[in-house]
Amino acid sequence: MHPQARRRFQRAVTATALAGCLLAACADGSTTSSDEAPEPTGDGELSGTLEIATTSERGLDLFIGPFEEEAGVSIDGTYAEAGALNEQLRIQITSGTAPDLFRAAPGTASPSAVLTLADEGAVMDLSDQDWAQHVPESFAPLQERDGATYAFPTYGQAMLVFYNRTVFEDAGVEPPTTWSEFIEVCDALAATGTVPLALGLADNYVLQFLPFALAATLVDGAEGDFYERLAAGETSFAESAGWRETFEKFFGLIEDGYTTPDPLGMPSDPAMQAVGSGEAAMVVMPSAASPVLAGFMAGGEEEMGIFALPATDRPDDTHIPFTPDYLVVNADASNADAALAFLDYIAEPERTSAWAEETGAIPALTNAEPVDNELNNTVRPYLEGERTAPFANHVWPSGEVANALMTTGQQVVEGSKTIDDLLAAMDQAYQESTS
Amino acid sequence: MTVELARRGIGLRRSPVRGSTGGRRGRLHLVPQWFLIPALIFYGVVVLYPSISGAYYSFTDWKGGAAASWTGLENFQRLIEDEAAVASLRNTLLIAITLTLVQTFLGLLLALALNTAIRSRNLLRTLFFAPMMLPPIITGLLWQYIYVPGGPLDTVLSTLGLSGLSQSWLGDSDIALWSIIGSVIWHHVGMSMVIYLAGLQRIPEELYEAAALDGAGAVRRFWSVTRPLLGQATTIATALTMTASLKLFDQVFVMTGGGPGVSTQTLSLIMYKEAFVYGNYGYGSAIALILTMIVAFIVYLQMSVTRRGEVEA
Repeated sequence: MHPQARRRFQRAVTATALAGCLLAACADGSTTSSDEAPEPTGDGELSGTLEIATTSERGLDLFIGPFEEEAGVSIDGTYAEAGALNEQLRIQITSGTAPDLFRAAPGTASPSAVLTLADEGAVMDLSDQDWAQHVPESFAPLQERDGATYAFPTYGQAMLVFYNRTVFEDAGVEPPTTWSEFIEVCDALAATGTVPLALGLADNYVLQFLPFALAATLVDGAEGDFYERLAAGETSFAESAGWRETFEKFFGLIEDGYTTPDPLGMPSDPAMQAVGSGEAAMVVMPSAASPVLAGFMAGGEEEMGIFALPATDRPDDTHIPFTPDYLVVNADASNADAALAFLDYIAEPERTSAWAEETGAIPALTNAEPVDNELNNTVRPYLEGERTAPFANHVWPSGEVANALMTTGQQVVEGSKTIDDLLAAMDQAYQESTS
Repeated sequence: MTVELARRGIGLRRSPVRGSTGGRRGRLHLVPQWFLIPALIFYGVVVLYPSISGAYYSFTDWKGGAAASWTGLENFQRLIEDEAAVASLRNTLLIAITLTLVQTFLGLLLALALNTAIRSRNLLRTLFFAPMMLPPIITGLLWQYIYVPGGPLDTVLSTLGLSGLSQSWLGDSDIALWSIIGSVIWHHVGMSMVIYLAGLQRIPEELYEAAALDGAGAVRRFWSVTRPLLGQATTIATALTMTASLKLFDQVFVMTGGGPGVSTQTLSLIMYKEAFVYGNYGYGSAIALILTMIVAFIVYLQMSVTRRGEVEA
């Protein structure tokens, strides 16, 4: 090769290698965050822009303007539906471009959930923040790792029974407080030709709602240390009397004809519409979906009643699933001081309540001012009596256990699998997630 | 000036003595290739590099966060043993074969019917093509509503006195996949029709006249004139349908989410769930790699077969 041509070739090879290294660095699977969360500067001087990404501007917009004015910080908000936001954040976290403050799911249920990110060192330890002392103890499995708290609970939602008051009045029934009463109510409603319980399992996530509502009492309430023993390998879903009873009661309701006929063919929205129109009487769902149901009712919110699903014949045993939504601070936040100051600002008792009221939710911090509406009045006794449990999937090690529940659960409804198969599938998914 | 240089460069390249030219003429000879560099860099960064990275990650346990570890063929082993993945592969192939055969055949029938002199042909062509203008997510939601128990489809059947045919369209494992295939055919058959219409309009009328003079009837004219001359259209229609159906995602995601159980799960759907819902990016990449290889192999095979039947008018 001619010397000049050789030099050109060498330069080209060097440039290509350098470009390759740069590209490889961009695509490296590791996060750019440090192992230890950086300390905020805490110099009290706030400036610049605070980047926030969450699911909705609703509620948050109450505070953005006043905070910008008070703190001298400009807020740049990004809003997207939870699933899309999770995917987007996962990519941003991996590539080191995540916003300063962002929404995270509880526990380890998704790749961008609080504890998944805490384990990676991608979010800041918030234990020393003033508001941290007001986080309910029941949230610990969802946001704490080795005693440190990694997330700010914005507001909570509960899994409850929502019913059509007119249908209940016409059938002459009252909200039940025990499982036997619940079955009696179902019988009375069925006798009037009404579908007692709307169930739209064509959207497979709906298959989690009723079991979670029952398991709060039968598993979290009756077998309080089940998840610790499960994590320690001392028990399994198959060995849990609570989970077995949960599924026997859930699938029993379908077999006994108390639910929407052909629930596997019915999507979630038409099932809710049936409650709104009075064709069905009740639906079990997270409280966050209640505004949608109220929209289907002729009498709006006034016509919609709420009660906790009993799972035993002892009313005091009843627990409800209650889970918060979270904001976390990026460990590599470019404006960490502003992010922490914003959390301090919205943690004021009247502000957490205002946010919950605006979003039709339940304040998550214990010092929040009580919100006076039916949802909050229904949930408050359970919060005060510490009879709440996280949504079950939020304490599972990954989304794969929930997938096993949804997939095999549909097959149980169809009759091609049994409850034993379902429990075994959940155990297998749990093992695979933790191995 | 640039254009002129490029043009001259091309001219030089065609010169029989280009190998012996040097200096300015040699540099001019390279000008067209320089213009390709930005596009090549863009292609490399946007297509080649992610594709190679994806192939690499399919041999790792990357979960999106911590650094990936090389796991060899473990993901592919898991794929073979994963009941849901095997069901997804079976469903994907069933969807691809059925859609390719039925949609292409229906598209041909529609094209033949609407390539005649009937007065409403333009309106009908528009009507049959119109669903193609809708996003797949929207058609998925629309058909989910149509298939609701006691919904529009059951009502129509009942009105026609055919209520015995009512089914749990999306709730029965034996039927749900076919219900989805039906909705996809409704959505895409217009595309096959348009491809065949274009093919039909390229066939010279004289060939039909000559065949008629030779005493060929309608069936004979179709078999001996239309069919062979539609070879290119068939290649295009089947290749597009096959590729799209092997990647089918939106309608399945919206209408059943892969259920009941795993009865409508497809490779695209399971790849999405593994990567973006469970964070198993390594395993998701392995599924993507397998899907890519299946698409490439089947489309190559199918095009080899259909191209043999192509005849120029």
